[in-house]
Amino acid sequence: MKINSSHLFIVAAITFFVISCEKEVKLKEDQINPRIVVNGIFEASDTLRIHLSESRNVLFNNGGDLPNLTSASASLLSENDEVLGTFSHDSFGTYSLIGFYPVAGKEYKLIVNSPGLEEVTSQNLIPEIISIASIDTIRQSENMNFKITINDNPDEVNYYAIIIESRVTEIFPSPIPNVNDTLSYRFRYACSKDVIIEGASEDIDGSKCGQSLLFRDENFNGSSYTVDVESFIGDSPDTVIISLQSISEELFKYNTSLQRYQETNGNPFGEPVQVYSNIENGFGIFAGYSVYADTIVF
Amino acid sequence: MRILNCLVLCTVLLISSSLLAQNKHTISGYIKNEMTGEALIGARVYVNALKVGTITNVYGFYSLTLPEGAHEVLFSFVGYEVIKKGIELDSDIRISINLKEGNNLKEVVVTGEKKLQESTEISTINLNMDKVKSLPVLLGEVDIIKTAQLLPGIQSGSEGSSGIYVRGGGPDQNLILLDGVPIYNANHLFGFFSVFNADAINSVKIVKGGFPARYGGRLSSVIDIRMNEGDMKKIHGEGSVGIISSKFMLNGPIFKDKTSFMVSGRRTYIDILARPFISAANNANSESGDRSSGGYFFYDLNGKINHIINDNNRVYFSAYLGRDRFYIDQRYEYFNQSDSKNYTESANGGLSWGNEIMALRWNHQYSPKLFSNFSLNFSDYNFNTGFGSKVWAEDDEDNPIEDFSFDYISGITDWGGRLDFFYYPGPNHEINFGIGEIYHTFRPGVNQLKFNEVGSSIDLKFGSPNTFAHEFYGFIEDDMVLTKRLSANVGVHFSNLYVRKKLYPTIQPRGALNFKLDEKSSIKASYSRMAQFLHLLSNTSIGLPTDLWVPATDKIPPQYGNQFSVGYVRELPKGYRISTEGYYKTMDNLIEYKEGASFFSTNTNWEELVEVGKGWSYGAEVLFEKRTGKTTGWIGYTLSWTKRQFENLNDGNVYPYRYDRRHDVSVVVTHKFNDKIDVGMVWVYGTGNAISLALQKYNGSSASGFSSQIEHIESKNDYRMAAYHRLDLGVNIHKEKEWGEATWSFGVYNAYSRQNPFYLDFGYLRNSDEYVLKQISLFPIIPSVSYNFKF
Repeated sequence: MKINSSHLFIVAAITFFVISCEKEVKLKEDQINPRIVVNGIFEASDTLRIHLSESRNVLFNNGGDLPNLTSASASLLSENDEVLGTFSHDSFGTYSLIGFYPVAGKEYKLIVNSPGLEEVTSQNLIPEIISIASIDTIRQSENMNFKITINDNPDEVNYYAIIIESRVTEIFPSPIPNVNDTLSYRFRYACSKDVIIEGASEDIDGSKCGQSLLFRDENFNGSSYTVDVESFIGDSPDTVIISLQSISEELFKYNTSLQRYQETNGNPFGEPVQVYSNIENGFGIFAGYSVYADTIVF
Repeated sequence: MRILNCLVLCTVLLISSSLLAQNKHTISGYIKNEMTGEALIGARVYVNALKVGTITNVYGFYSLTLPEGAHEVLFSFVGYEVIKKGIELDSDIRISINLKEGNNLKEVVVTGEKKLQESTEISTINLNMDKVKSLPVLLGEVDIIKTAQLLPGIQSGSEGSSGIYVRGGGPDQNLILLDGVPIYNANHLFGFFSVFNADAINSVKIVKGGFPARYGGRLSSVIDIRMNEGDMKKIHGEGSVGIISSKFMLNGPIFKDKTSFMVSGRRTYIDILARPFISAANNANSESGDRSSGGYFFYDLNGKINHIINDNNRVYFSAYLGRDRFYIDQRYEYFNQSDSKNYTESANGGLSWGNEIMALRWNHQYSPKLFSNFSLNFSDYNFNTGFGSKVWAEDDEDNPIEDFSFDYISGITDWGGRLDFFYYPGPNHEINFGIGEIYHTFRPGVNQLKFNEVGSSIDLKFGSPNTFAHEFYGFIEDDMVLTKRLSANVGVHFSNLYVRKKLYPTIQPRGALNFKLDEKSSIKASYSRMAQFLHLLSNTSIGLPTDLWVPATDKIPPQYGNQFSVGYVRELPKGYRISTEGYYKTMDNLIEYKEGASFFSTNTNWEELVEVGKGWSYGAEVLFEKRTGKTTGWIGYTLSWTKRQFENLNDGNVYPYRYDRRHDVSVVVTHKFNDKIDVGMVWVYGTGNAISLALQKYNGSSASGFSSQIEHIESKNDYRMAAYHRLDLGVNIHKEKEWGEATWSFGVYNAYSRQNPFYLDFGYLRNSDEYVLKQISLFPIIPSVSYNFKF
């Protein structure tokens, strides 16, 4: 077909119509000043470690790493503002507080300073441990079904996370006689169709899956409740560890919002997610948990 | 003794009222356009000596009770010559009047309509269709919704969008009626145009507050659109040919003065224009085996039949059918050497959505004082999107080796009936009452997945189940003159929703007062309580048909709203008028998607995907108009705040609504040089939309130690896009022809080519490797030309 001038005019008109105009929008300084980022999720009775880094505006180093803070000062205080210790830098922005072990049922405060950045603070109460009353299991080939029963504390609002971790050691024959190569790894992934699970979105079969299954005691406060969980454990696991974490409300909000964020990120039809933070003047999370774990040895 | 006194008193009262009644008679009838026979809605019937009057209802009917004796009655309507008729009233008489279109606008406006300072109507605008057709518009497509967006308190969403946001309400909170039937999605071309063909429209009334009791079902506005009925005398037609679409309207008598018809149609031809280029591209790629086709179009069809059975009975049937379709199809042919066969792979995708409505109405006049309308109606909105692929060998397309398709289907269907009565007991009262019922079928979203391959197949349907609901309502209102200065419209709207064995009864009191300060000015006040049993789940800001209509259910309550407004109106010399209004509105049980939710969320019922919260908005509006003379137009300004609060969104903190527009200005001017040339100018300004934009990023982690970068949104909708402003210019050149009139319309949209924000995105500008925040704009300066004809 011969293209003539009227066709060219129509092409130009359509092109003119559909091609959008773009221009840069400058971000204001106060919108993009870097802030201190604290990532401190810690377990009761374990060494306290936090990671400190800096935030950057979203245009910074597209896809690249964000800078760690290596010369910040971080202090841990009790709820009465008594200084319990000062963190020391290990490496790559990780700080630890040696010789101090947080206790369940206590509240702790964190203060972090770094040159050129605004001071950040946070505080969190570590919930008391909640035991697993019983676990019933059914092995189905490479999967295992767990019925985990907990007795909820009626005196408070409780938030939980269930984590199923499989530890596997695989042996690979080697050309050298009497020598084998071994590979040890662990993975965490579990699914549940229970309606109380929050954070993760539903799959086609109604399951919600993730590295941890988060829920609260809204529907069973003070009574016994059984959560049905399924996990892939592999052909021949060494051990499977079933952990029930009793987490603070702040950690629950952070983890559920982070799960939603990770599932939605990049989806143009997904509603934007605001990841929760309890760091005042900064970003991130400072929260503790206590854990009760059972181990199945194969 | 007391009982006797009471009886005597009652008897005296009865006799007195009987005597009084005997001394009054009623004139009633219809007021129509002399040339076409079209009913004139809102035409005035007035007796100056008694200072009493009335206006015609939506069917052109009026009724006015006067004392026995001689009277001079004025019949008038905006743009028409006044008729004064002397009558000797000694019994009820029927007077139907045909008004002639007039040329002396200055004279007729003074008496042509019930003056705003006399009317109990508040927050109400009657759009002038001639004005609608004379204003410059995008691509020359005249649009009543776009014209409405030029008025204070009514705003558009995004650039080019025809969704409307009235006094802080969402796009679902507008009851859009076409001949009394609700339309659920009034958007074509992803919201750039509305579904209303202006050539088929007779009148448009927009109510933003002070809702009379006859209206119900939505919180924020009523847009009552009446189609033309059809010329009872001779065949008329109108049409236009524009850059992207053409339309045509034909109306006329089937039986003169008895039965008339109106049909109109509009279609775009972007797909037809693109076909030669697609063909050329396919021919160029013929060696590679690639072939593509695709396109987009929309169409509207309107039809109406109007039949006068006798003086007391007439019936109407009206229908609308409209559809948008976007499609793309790609095929690839190749030769497989392993089995020496030719294979074809095809991939296709598309969107399709549309409305169908039908209404059957019967008007009956029982007496000079009592008029009724009974209507049955049907409305259906459906949306379908899908994509698929197929592989077949040789030419055996019917037996593919592999066949995959995914469809997402949603929509809503209504069957309804309504009975309205208009009762005119006397000149100081106009009583409307009625009942109605709507049977809703909601289809909130079903995913259909099919996959067939040799040895395996999947046929899966999942999503939200259909929901059925009955909505029953009744109302009564009285528009009354209380004193010489004070008039009121008081009423109550009752509605009840029955859904999934749950009942939601509501009583919605309504009241509006008008106090005349003097002949030229008045103060108005109103209160309305509204209930809405539907929600619209919107995933994006553009009027995408992915928005889902969902009902209130046993888990998700209906929306409720309260609105207070006060206003002042003053007629000024030389055809000027100024009106100001302040309002405060609350909205409860609004719904929004939860964070992370999407209408594509696989198996989850929509009720699990939403949060329930509240909103409120308040503001002030000013409208300064010039309504007569060669130069007419208006300046409108709105100052407003609109907020939302949801317990589980934004951490429970109050945040601005996306369309919280602090300042909204429109300047509209038309000038008629002579009968041949008129020009128009529109300038609009609006504060930018409020959006959620992540400006910072940081390292996150979970208990497992896995780290990812998180983009941080400080607060929901805390980022303001740049302000929007635009200038449109247009000129119309009219020419009388032997067969009628032809008009060339030239226009420029966005005359100074302002880059208004359409959306923001992070990315790379063209020919640059710098990662930036980009503002994408849609329409630069766009000239348009269209040829219009009328016969």
